Amino acid sequence: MTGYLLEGEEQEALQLVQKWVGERSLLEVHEEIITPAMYHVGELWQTNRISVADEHLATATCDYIMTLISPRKGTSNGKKAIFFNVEEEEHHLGLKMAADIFREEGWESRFLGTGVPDDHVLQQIEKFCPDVICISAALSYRVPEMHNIIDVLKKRMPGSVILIGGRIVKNHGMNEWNEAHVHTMSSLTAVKEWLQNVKEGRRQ
Amino acid sequence: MKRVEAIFPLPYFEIDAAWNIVAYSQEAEELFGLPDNLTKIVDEGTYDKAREWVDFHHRKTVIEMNVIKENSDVILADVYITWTDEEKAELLLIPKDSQVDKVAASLKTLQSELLKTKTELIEEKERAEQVIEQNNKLSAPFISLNKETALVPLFGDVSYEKMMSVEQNLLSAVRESEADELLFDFTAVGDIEKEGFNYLASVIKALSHMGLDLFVIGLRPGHVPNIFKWSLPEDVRFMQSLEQVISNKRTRRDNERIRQKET
Ligand code: B12
Repeated sequence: MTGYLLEGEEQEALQLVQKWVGERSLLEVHEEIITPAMYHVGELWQTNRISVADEHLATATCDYIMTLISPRKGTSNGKKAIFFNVEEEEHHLGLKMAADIFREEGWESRFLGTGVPDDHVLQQIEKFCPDVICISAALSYRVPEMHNIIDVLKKRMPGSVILIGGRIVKNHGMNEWNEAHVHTMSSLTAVKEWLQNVKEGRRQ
Repeated sequence: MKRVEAIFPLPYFEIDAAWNIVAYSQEAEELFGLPDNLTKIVDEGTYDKAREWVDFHHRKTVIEMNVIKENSDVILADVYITWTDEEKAELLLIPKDSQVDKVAASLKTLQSELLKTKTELIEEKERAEQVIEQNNKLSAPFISLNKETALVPLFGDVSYEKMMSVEQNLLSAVRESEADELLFDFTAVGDIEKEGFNYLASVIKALSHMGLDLFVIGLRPGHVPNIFKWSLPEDVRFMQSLEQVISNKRTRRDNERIRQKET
């Protein structure tokens, strides 16, 4: 898989992924195949076998495939979620996966992605009125910015639940951010469980 | 630690085996300030890589490293490393942001343009949907002709979505008015879709359960085969026009009056 991603062979990679999509859940494909493939790309860079230019190509191929296997619009549950990266954060694949997990459960997911300036994001959020706001950050330096945006959102969107994910959560937990309406999630499995709980009314 | 003239106008460091910086170029100082040890400018995600490669056992090598500028931006650089002996290495850094970032930047602008267009399109779509919904709602106004009779002229095609948005308005208008006679006027109806018709039929059925007298008027020849094929509730009566309903009513009333007089 990593090989196809790095060569930009999206057709081969897509065939492989589609075979998996037939056999496994979207969650497993994202968490057990695509994520490790991208982490492996990172390891190859660390061992000086590829360059960042290769990482760009792998990311583009990966993004393309993810778009194609993204769940189609099914029966809606009437709930809405919005997804964005903290300002200047570009690592967006994990966030995109999270949006798909929500879609699979019948949510309307709006993916703002990466590189959107914050005031624009805030306007979008206020207009969209989401039930849940999902934010991602990968770089360790983003912690203060994430902290800041959580505070802003708590004030401007007091009714919305905020979910925080990405590499900073995966690696550092950031449990100190957890409170009534704010939850850190270190994996897509955790997201899925959370959604299941919401559906059964055990949690909001 | 001393400043030296490098051969190239590029950031340059001389380090010892413990990564202490013994000499640096002016360009290095401009970019990184005056760190005393290389560790200070190595990004944490690059640390393990650097530990492996910035070491005497790779005598001459080049690696990509993420390094931290004095303003705490993290930049990517090709780092050329040459060990002159076990205690001294020369590092030449060629920042890559000028090359890669240019492409990345234009990609990014494209990407954000696309994103902007996409959000605009979504908003446009939502607005259009609202207009259609509004339009649909207005396609079956409720007009009280007098205390007991109301007219519902239908406009345009009878589609499922339209009938769905019409339903609420219609039912609440009926509830609020005292009319016990309702005329559905098909004069301005275009095509009748099967799903739309079935939905309308179910609304009409509900109204008939509420005890209303129901009439369909203004059917055009094109409508007739379908309407009879798909069938409306039995107690719905068909009349040619509004005048016919009214004149019928008048005759009925006159007859009643005559009967009352006779008894
Ligand atoms: C691909 C990649 C890139 C691509 C990113 C392309 C893109 N648009 O996504 C490019 C080449 C552009 C890039 C750029 C940079 N990168 Co980079 N990159 C990577 C790499 C190799 C893989 C990242 C990835 O796609 N992972 C796969 C995804 C799916 O995993 P994930 O993000 O962890 O997501 C999972 C969970 O966290 C969760 N999740 C994620 N988000 C969310 C959100 C919610 C709400 C929830 C519930 C869950 C959730 O879902 C996923 C489930 O599996 C990593 C290596 C690594 N080990 O991570 C380095 C890495 C992250 N990058 C790094 C760096 C330093 C950079 C740059 C600063 C380099 C530079 N000098 O320019 C820039 C920063 C750009 C920016 N402004 O943000 C460092 C970070 C070190 C640090 N200090 O934190 C890493 C670790 C590499 C390294 N060893 O040095 N990078």
